[in-house]
Amino acid sequence: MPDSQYRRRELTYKIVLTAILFALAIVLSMVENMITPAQLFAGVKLGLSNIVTMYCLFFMGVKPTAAIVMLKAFFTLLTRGLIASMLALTGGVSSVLIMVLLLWLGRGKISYLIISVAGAVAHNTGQLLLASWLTKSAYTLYYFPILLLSGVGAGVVTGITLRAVMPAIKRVSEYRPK
Amino acid sequence: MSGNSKDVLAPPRYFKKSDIIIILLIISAAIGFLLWQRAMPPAATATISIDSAVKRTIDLSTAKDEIFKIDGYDNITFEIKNGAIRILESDCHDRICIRAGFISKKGQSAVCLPNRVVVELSGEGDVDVVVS
Repeated sequence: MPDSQYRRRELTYKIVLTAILFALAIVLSMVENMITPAQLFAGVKLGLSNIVTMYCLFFMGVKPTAAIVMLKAFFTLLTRGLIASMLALTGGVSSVLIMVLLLWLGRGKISYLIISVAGAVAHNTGQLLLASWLTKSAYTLYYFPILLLSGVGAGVVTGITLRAVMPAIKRVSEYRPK
Repeated sequence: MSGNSKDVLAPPRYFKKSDIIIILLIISAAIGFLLWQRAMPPAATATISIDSAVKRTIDLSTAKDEIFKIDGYDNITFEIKNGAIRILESDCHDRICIRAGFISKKGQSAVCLPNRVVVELSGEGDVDVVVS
């Protein structure tokens, strides 16, 4: 097959996979909202959709991951309004930024679990900083330890889940268009 | 990336020793923060701001128990009781501000983000926090 055709097929594959992952992320966050009765504290959540973000980052690179983050924020804008979408954007960008940093600096030696925890903590911290800026109040930052703890918890849970699911996903994603 | 199928199906190893250490460190740091916050003296002044504009300042040490709203903002109700303050009612979707309950220590705050309502507690001689 001529080179350009091969490249086009590969690109289509990537686009479709990214779209599927995005849909999966949305479904995961909807499920998460359904099984969490009512929020305990501001910003304390399981972050199941981050499993998708992490998978995308680890196995597809930064660009599809950035696309998913933007799409999630836009979706939040359509469904829940401006402030929620700003929070989603800030959390997503902070999380991906830190994870990319860790991946790049650690050169494969930092375990996925720690990257997951760091991503979750960064997600919460970014949102906390945004909330603090929106309310022009430095006192909001007193929420930090609670967010640290919930970030560790969420990071561990999503990290373990990703680990458990990874062999299955690897088998599926090894398909390549001929 | 198509290695032996035997490897792919092996149960993944979840925790490395360094992972556990790092996580314990983070948890200790968080608990440390919390203890430090709990050790704060009770606050003297509550400042209620809406849309980043200070609407009311209350001296908690002398305040009488009352339930009130701020002029022009009918959707938020506050309550003061025994020198502590809380958001009693709010029309926001999450109701996180209400679930936070009473606050009485310096540095604590109750925030209703969708309504841009902030209740912050400060003590005497609080100079280090000026956010403009």
